[in-house]
Amino acid sequence: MNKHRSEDYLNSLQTRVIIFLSYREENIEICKDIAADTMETFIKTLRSEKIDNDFAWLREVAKNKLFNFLKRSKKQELFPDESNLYDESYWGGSVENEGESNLEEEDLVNILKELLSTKEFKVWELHSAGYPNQEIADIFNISYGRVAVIKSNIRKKLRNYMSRDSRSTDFNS
Amino acid sequence: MEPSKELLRDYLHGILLPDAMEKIDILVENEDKWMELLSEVESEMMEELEKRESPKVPEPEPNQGN
Repeated sequence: MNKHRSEDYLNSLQTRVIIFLSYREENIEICKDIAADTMETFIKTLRSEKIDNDFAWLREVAKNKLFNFLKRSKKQELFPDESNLYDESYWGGSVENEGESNLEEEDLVNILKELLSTKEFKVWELHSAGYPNQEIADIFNISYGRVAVIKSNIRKKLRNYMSRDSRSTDFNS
Repeated sequence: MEPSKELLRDYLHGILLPDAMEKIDILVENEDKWMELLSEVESEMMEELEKRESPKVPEPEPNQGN
């Protein structure tokens, strides 16, 4: 017999996966991303397979996905090749292409102040001032890979922000 | 076995012995009191996580009239 899985139930499972991952990875944004990806795999799998114990299945898949993610991050740390990804033209291009708006740098700074944590904002400031990843890592006493992850989060937050419904950019209000 | 928040926190973190994990998997799927408490613990833990990762942006000082 097929088990009925309501939307509320699936949301609750996703929350459980986030919490499960948060014990293994401190960055909640990474946990949320991996949990969403895991849920997608779960729903696809349900179409062709029977899963008896949902959370047990999700734990295993989420753990593997996190492991693979961390492995990739480590590889990135060893073979950095993303220097052009974070240059100013990348940021500018992203903003203009995705939001179809023409943000001035000052607006971008205001957006980032609003969106980012203090640490993320400081990383962005140093990046903008031309500091390479390794120097940023040294300043914060964190790994090169961690800096790359923080920058990736910044980019994601900015993209999410820009993809919201034509939101006003009146930051003075 | 009675549900407790402490136990459910460890369960959600996946740090119990495999046997215990399996038992609780079954209990939270089938027993109302386990399900209810789990849902409460989930909300509490998510709230804690959000607080940990998203420090509040300080509100701007309101304009003084003078």
